[in-house]
This record gives sequence, C-alpha cells and structure tokens, in this order.
Amino acid sequence: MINEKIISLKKMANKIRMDTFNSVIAASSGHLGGSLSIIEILTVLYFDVMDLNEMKNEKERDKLVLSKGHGVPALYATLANKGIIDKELLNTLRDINSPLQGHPDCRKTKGLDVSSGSLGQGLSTGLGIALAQKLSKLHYRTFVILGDGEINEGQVWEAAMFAAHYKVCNLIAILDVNKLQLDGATNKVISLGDISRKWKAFGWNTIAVDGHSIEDLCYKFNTIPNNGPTIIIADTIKGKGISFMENNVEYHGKIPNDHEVLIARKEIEEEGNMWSI
Amino acid sequence: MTVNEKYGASLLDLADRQNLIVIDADISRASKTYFFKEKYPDRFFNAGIAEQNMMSIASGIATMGYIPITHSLAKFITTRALDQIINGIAYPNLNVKMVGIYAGLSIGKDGATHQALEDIAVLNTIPNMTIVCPGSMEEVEELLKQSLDVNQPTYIRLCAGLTPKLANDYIKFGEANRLTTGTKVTVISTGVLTDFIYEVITENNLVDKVELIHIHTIKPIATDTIVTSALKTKNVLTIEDHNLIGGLGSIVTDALSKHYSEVQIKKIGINDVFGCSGSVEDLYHKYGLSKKHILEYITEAIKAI
Repeated sequence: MINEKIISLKKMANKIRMDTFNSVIAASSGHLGGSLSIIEILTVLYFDVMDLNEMKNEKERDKLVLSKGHGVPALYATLANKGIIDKELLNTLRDINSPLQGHPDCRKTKGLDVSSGSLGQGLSTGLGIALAQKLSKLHYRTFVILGDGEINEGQVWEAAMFAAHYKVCNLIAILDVNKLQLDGATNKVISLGDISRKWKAFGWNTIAVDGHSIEDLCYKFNTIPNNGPTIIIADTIKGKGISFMENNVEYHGKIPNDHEVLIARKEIEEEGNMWSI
Repeated sequence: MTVNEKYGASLLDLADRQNLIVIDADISRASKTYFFKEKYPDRFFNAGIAEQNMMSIASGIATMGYIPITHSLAKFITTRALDQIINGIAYPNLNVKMVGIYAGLSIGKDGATHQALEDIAVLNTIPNMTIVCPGSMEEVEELLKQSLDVNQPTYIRLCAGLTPKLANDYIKFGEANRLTTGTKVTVISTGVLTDFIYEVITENNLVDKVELIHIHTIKPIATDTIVTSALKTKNVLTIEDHNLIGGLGSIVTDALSKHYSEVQIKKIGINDVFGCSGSVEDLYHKYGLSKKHILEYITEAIKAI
C-alpha cells in the first residue's frame, strides 16, 4: 500500500539524488557512486526517522555519523532539502573556502554532528555519542552509516565488540552494502563473507533491508529492538539511479563527461516524474 | 608513591567534576585509573586492548560536552591511535585528554617496542594539539587539573620515576619553570630529566653557571622565556629522553630560529636509534643520559663559550 507519506519521501529522495548529482558535477570532483547508494537511507532518516525538531536543544536532537565520509555530497543535499544549510551552497562543494569540504567537517558545516573521512572510525565515534546520551539522560538516538568496504578496517570490529559488551541500545548502525569499493568488488578485494552472521557473532541484532525501498526502510527502522546494538544491513546499488553508473566500479570517484551528465539528469528527472503525477 | 599512583589519586580528586569520563585500554591497574573506576563506575569505561576504538569513542563523548580522559602506554596512545587523534580529535579540536604512561626510556626493561621516543615529535606537528610533560608528582597533579580547562586536545606525557617536587613549584600551563639562574649556559629539559639535571647542577656547584629551564608545557612552548635566557647566556643545551629528531631540542631550536647567529645551541637526546631492554639506570648510561654524561655536557658547554 503506497500512502502519501511514502510518495512524498520518494519525491524527496529524487530531489536529493538530483541535488547530489549536480553538486558533484559542479565540483568536478567527489564520490558519486557511494553517495547515490545512500540517498534513500538518508531521506528516510532525515525526513521520517530522526528527531531533528528545531525547537529542541541541539544536544537533544538525534545524531548522525556519516562514517563513510566520502558519501557526504548526499548528506549535504539532504541537509539542504531539510533547510539546515543553504541550498545555494551545494554549488560550492569542494571549492576553496566553502563550508562544504570534500569530507565532513562539523566545524564548518551546520548540521554535521561529527567530522569524518578517515574510514573505520565512525562507529566508535557514534558509540561515544551514545554513551554520552546514557550519562546525560538526554533523549536522543545516534545513527551511524558505514560502507561495506569500510568494514575492512579493524577498528570497526573493536567498536562492534565494545557495543555488545556495554549493551549499547541507543545506537543504530546502517551498513551500506553496495558491494563495490575503489579497487573493485568487495568480495574480490577482501572477502566480507556472510556479513550478517559476522555481526550476529559479535553480539549485534541484524536487520536486512532493501536500501533503496522507501517502504522497506520506513518499516524496518520501526522494528529496532532495544536489547543491544542493532545494525541495519542495507542491500544497495552503487551509483543507484543512473543506469551507466549502477554497479560500475569506475564511478567510485570518476566524474561523468558532458554527454553522460545529460543522460544522467534525464534519468533522474524521469524517475521523479513517476512520483509527480 | 609511584608516579602512576599519584596520577590515579589526582584523577580521583577531580572526580567531582561531573563532566569527566575516564577511559582506559586495559591498563587501569598500571595507570591507577581503577581508583576512579571503583568509586565512579558509571563514568569509567574499559575499551580493552583497542586504543583506536578508545580514542574515537572519546571524540564522540567530547562532542557532547564531556571531557574524556583516555589512558594507555605513551607509546600506544600516541602512535597506535595516531590517525584517530589527528582526524577524529585534533581536526575538530575536541577537548579530549590523552594520558600516556611510562614515556621514553623510563619504562625500562620492556624494551624498544614499549619505549615512546617519538611521541613528542609526532604530536607536535598536529594543529590544535597541546602537550604537557610533568617533571614532578606535584606537576602531574597540577597540570592534569589545569589541562582540563584548556579547551583543546592535550597529551599528558608521564615518565616513571618523577621526584615529588621540583625546586621551584610555580606551575602554570604554557609557562616554563626556571630552577636555577646561572649565567654561562641555559640548560633546557622536560619530564623526569629535569630533577636529574638539577641534582647534577647542585651536586657540582654549578648553580651560578647554569640557568636550568624546565619545560612542562611542550606545546605551546614558552618561547619568550627561552629566548630571554638564550640571549642572556648565548649558550643553550637541551637534554631529553626522546629522539633528537623532532623532540624538545628541535622545538627549542625552532623557538630560537631568529637568533641563530647570536646563540650556540647543542642538543642531547636519543640519537635516532631504537632503545632496548635494561634497567632505567643502565639505559640512561647506554644512551648518554647518566649523571656522569650530563655533567660532561654541561661542563663542555660552559667551556665552549
């Protein structure tokens, strides 16, 4: 059953996808593939799941750690559509003196809870924010978006052990399983094996989700247990929404040419038209 | 009382500051943070043998206005978790305290893998970072307390074997401490070596000849005090339990860069080699930091002018 909320979220995801694409094209630099795979995740988080009520003390709002910091163009576009940063800024991505750095800088961009970019640290940082919540008794949750290539980093598993040991329930990790990293397929670079079983073995609840299905994401974010740490394992497509980029490792960091840009914009527009009737 | 016991007791004394969170990486029985843990278990976390996770957790806690104080050996808290310090703590300029115990050769018999001889050099190159290296038990307590109000990341480098108190007990973060005011040579040192050098000076009646400056705050360094003394004696000798490259001697040399033509500078330290196992006394002898060596360096420096 597709209701109004779902349709409006799909429209929003489409706007964010277009804004993300355009900002990276304006910069002629940035990671499109891994930005496009988290568009629906960010849309559902910022427009449905997270409590970002501006009336609240900043410390009491829900927090997001984009551990895969290279996906930040998608986050900037989300923050712009949420009205947290000025939409005009998107055209300045990666420019000298722009607050929109190539990787997230919480001291420069409004709405960012932490700085990130060096992979493998965000789950630990999120844990720190979650521990602070317990100590302060403020009411907020902490969300951490990890990339599947990123979990090659050993620190992720240090954090996984810690979270299970301390039964941290107010932290929700989302794993963007787009199955590609810079050098190729994740399972060709360093096999991840059965990801869900690995996290379960580390003491985490795991929830599988279609990372591009607004319906599934909205539903699964409402089924998070509170008996320990939870990871939502999102099946996604790198470069999602642009046919020639989808599942194509070349577009991890490559910028499309002028002709490809026209095709890409047309495809995103057509997708958007489906939800505008 | 050992240095670590003094540290653990000092930390406990600060526990009424409710925003202090103590994190240890499985060395709480050595760092004596278990004093804090036993009384305030809700504000203590053991990260296990996982320094990187510990440092990034601290960065997250700090974003919410708490002051996390992390602990490991000086060697591991600095270089093992270096990227976490640089990108996760220093770049966003978070008020995280990092306490490294058994710095330099002072760890003794554990050998090269556990001897932090590069920690000052490495951390000094990181923007927003501050570094303190107490020279006495009293400074451990006082500099820990003062560093909490330095709203920047701070590395607290603890050597074993510190004296209870230095001859001059004026302790202010960012300022140097002058122990003797002689006129022939300025000797500059930090950490455990300061009192050691002070003993050499007093035992050999060199007080009138040596101006001994103790640097407990290595970054930001007290440039004015160093320059004033150097211009007075025209003769500077730095002595440290750290690699000569990038350590206190290099930092002092940088501070004196405008005065190279006026001042003679000599640097003593570990000459770009790894340490080894042995008692601290034997190590100081082997690496040229024994009292006998120090007396020679000072005597030569005085003669040279």
